[in-house]
Amino acid sequence: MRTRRWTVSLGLMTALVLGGLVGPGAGQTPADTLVFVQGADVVSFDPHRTVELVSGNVNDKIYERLVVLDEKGGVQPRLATQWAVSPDGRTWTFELRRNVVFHDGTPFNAEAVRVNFERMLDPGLRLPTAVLLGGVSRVRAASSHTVVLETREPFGPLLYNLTHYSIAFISPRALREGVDVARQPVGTGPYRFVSWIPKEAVVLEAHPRYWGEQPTLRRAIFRAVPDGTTRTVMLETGEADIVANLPVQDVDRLRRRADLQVVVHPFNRVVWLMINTQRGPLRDVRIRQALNYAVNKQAIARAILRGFAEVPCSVVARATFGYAKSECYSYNPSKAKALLAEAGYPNGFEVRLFSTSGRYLMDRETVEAVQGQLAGVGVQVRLNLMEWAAFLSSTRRPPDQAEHDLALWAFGPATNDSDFVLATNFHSSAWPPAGNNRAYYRNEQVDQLIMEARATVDDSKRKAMYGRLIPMIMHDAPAIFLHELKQIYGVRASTGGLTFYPIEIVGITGARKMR
Amino acid sequence: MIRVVEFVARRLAATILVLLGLSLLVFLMLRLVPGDPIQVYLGVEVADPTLEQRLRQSLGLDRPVLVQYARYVGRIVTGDLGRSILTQRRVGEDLLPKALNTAQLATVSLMMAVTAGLSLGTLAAARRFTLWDHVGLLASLAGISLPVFWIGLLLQWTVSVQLGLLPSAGKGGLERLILPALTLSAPSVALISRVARASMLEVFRQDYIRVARAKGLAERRVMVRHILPNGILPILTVVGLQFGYMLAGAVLTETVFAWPGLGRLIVDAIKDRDYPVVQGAVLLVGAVFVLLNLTVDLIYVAVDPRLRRSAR
Amino acid sequence: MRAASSLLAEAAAPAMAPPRRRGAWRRLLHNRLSALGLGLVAFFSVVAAAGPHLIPYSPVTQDLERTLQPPGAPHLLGTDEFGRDVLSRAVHGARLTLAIGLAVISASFLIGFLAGVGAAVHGGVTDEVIMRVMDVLLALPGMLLAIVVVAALGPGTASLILAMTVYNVPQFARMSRAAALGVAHQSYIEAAGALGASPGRILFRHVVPNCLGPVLVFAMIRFSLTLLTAAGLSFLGLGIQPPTPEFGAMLHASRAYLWEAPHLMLVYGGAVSLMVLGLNAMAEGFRDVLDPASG
Repeated sequence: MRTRRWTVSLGLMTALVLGGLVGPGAGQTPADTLVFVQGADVVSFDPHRTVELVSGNVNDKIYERLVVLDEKGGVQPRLATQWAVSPDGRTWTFELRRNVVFHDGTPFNAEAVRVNFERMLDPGLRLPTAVLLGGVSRVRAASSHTVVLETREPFGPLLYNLTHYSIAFISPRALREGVDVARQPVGTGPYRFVSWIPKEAVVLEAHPRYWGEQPTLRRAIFRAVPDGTTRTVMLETGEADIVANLPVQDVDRLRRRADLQVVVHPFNRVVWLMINTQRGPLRDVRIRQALNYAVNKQAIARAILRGFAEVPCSVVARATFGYAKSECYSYNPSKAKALLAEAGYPNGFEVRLFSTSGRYLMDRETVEAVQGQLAGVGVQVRLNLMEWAAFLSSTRRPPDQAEHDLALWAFGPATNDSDFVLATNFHSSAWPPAGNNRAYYRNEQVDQLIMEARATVDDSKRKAMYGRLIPMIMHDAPAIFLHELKQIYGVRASTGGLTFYPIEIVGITGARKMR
Repeated sequence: MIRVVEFVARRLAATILVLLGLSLLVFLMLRLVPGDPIQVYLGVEVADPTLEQRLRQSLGLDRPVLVQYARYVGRIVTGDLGRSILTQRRVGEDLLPKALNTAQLATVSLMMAVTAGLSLGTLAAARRFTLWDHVGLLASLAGISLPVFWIGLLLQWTVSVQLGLLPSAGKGGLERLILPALTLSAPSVALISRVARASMLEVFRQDYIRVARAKGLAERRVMVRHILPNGILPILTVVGLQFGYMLAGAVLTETVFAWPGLGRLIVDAIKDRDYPVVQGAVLLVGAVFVLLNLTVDLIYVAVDPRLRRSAR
Repeated sequence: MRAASSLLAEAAAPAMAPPRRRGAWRRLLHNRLSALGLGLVAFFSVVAAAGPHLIPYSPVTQDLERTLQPPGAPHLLGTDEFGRDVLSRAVHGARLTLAIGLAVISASFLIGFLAGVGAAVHGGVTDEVIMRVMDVLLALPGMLLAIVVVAALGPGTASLILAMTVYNVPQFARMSRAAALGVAHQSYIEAAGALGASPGRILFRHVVPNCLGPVLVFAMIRFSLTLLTAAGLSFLGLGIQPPTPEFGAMLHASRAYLWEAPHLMLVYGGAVSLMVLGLNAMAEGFRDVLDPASG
């Protein structure tokens, strides 16, 4: 008898505790606040210190750049109102916007720009942004609101590179006074910094002296929620207004709900399986083409990525400057087999595929499908899934020490320029360990054209050069060109006015909430 | 009493050795494993050997491992855990709040697990071979039949999405603690209840219990004086172990519920090869384990007087 | 506390019943719990041994045109996200999963039990050294351990087993030490010592049999948790290499398809639950039957 009473009272107590808490419930976010849920946390609020996307998306609200990308991926003025390049292509003059102030009240002017460029280029500070500014040799303030950038050689991609979210301007006073901008950012953007609890949340509020249109929502909270399924749950309960990287499996279900919307936007990230062109049978271009024909990219895009990917017919994405449509390598297993036989491998061979798991949309699933399909033409794939850090270093060895035959590699240039894609992934000077050319691909003509395009400041001429360059790379097939991803966001139906770009950045200044 | 003080003093001295050994082990393991913090920090967009080399130099990562370790220990002695390679924040400053979050989750979770586990286990032992026993088995096994990320998702879906009772994720008040604590306690309920049942039954059969009963001792006195002290050691051990693992950070629960605790901090730092963060966190976890085990061992002695002789 | 102790007092009552003499096997089968456990374990063993030869589908052949099919014909339990036969994957998975669990638990049991009981019986410096080494192992993050082992041995089943064994050993050691401490100072053991029994004899005739019960039960729960640890490693991207069918990895993968294809979770989750139930029921049944005081 006593046992029962004891159990009953325990149950009652639990019920009481739970009952007392039912009050708040899951609820909704405040009317004047946008809650943005991302998969990771900010690394640093110093834009020059980090080139990574999650930080970029938050820093994009706090800081501004001279020029920015528009929704289609072209260049638009921001802190620079207009610009001109000298006939020799080595001197760029930018007129700056007036009446812009930093969050600490410091005026934004040519001197502020100069100080920031000097900081980015200072070798003693070891900032990664210096790499993006490759050719810039000197920056000077020609007048209070005119800045002149000089490059050693003519540098065609400069304007696109300047749209990178890392080439942003920090208050010169904050820098001078030694403010730790990695934690106390001071920019000119529509939102200013309020607080940051690492791995939890970043809180921003509207900057009252912003030069442009005031943000509609007074506050913005960025939450770090690593698990995709949990992000979906938070959207469903109303704890989030927008979630990034919505799992593709949840899209259909959420689309059936009236209070939620799924936003699918083009993305400039392309996914390749880099083929080690210096190893065994893979040295033969016919074999590499055969591998491209043997993989059913349509089926992968449809069945695994649920249509949230395009099959690429180019090295770069459709949204990227310089895109040119070329060979599509449509699924053709008999052609693949014929090419293999022609190259002397009618029965296939074995390859080792290195891949990450959980870093890119459906990456594990994609390589598992490739494994199954290549087996269909006799190519046996030994998968080696690894976590990111191990993957990065094990696939970045000199060619004679390389262990991978195939390596999953995705690249989405934050500058949205073909130069960034081709020079860092397909130029022979970028062979690991020096760079990211994990295919160890070398074609002297391609190398030369990449550099020629880079030295061309006329964008229409530059585009035409990529039109010649891209088909050459596609023909050499240094990679299995798998897909071009799309961005998937889940948004509450009551939230509107967001702007989406071909890079993973979401504009929130115009965001509004309907009740 | 003096013996106990001596015992504690000796154990605390041993703690320093344990932490030294642990830190050296982790230090070497981190550097043995493939992966480079600089590459992770720079990401896919920047691959520049010159910049990488300069960063490595500035962090002292280009020196021989043992030199790095000696310098690390030197700084630890002064209380400096160093800075994160990735965020450049002070390790100590980030470690403490995350450890407190974890402690909060672990304490609530342990209370749930001990209450449920002991009740189920005792009931099963007392009502052995009855329906209660079988129900107890099934109920406790439910907690270990599904991985944490499944239990978490099912709880989130029913409690948060369908019923709208509690928030699904993130840190905040007590209402955000219940679901993760419940999820985290599930495997511990199983362990505690099953071990409790087994060790109580183990004691029931001992001769001295029969002797005590034959002497005509009251049942309650038998229980308090004999069964409880003798059966408690394995139960205490399991509770201690589970609490230790909870305090070390439950990465799966923390990930599913976006709970900013030590587990995620450690796993993220391992993924990023953020050496100073991993080292600092492991030192903390090591200290927690050692102190916890010391406490458990002291409780052994307190409940089981005969063990005092062994605490020489 | 009052209520709890009286409850505990009641607990002693059944154990007082005089033992009935019956053969261990008959008692084992008569005990419903252990019969259930034995039945389930036998079922899974047969499935693991013979199943792969009976199912017409390969566990790795993909069909991207028929992904996430619900149970029915021709795939009895449906297909997964690659259009692979779920039944076939479950059957092959059971074999590998049980083998991994068995390897991990027997290895950690053996090492941990010897270390723990040794520490308890020897006491003094031996105890200190063994247990402090175990403290170091306890505090090592499991994920770091897994990455190191994979780096050393390459990814695969062996690495998985080794990493999980190292992870489990200190737990078994602490557990066994506690159980042994509980009996090592009993009067009958000291009496045996006084009567001149050798330490080895005392250890194996008296200490071990009397502390095995809780450790055995602990072992079976750890066996079950090992299945989940494997799932956790997959969750962290460190699990078994695809396309090898293993329950941890399959449970992890099925989570994303809860809404579209709940049969994946039901099949894999259900199978794991039954395995867990079978193993634990069997272990507790054994414990009860081997217990001389049991009725």
